[in-house]
Amino acid sequence: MILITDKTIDTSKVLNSVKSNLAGASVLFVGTTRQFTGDKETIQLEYECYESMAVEKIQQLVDIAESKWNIEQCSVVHRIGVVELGEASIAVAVSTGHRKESFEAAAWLVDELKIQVPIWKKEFWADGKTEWVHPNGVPRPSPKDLNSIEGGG
Amino acid sequence: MNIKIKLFAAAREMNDTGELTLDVPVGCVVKEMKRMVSDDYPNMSELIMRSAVSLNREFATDESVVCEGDEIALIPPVSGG
Repeated sequence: MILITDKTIDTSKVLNSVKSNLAGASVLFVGTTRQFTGDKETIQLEYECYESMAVEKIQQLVDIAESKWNIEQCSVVHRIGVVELGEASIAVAVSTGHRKESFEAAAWLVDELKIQVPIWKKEFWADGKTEWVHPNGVPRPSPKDLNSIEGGG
Repeated sequence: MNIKIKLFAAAREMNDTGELTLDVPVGCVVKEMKRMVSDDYPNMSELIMRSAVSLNREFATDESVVCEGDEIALIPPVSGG
């Protein structure tokens, strides 16, 4: 399941979506809105996305993950709009035959999503200021580079 | 030729619009297109330098040719998750 939603993420539903009799391990990663970044206080986050491209990029990442690890089922759900403190902005679930693979694949999917998928967050700080988060980073890889990214497997 | 460029996040807010229209020469490449947007919208120039461009929902290179009818977007550094 790949889903962009403006509704609360039902994380147990995401975990259930990767159930498989062939799996011996399921990993669920949930990213939530954190109150403090250093000494700065967040009151809420707001997410925006380029939905058609985001869904395609997530599907490409899932396809690559499935080629690197022996994945039974995989789900990625990202929320958009306002996400209050403690609420989930992202849930990634992976089921595999053995635990090492699901830990690695889930971590890789989250790491890559944070670099390549066109989703942005806006911080609403406690002092009333707001700020789109556009990290100083290397340009994202071209699709060619993406295929050469080394995974754990 | 006229092209439309989708804007997101800070780029969208700076211009109060989710889409720009730009007149570019036929055969224009992404690098030139970014420079033209930067010239027309100097408030975005720093962000444009740090942004990628997508053509038809795939990341483009500086030398990718922009064609009429392409779905074009300016992709500022992403921060999902």
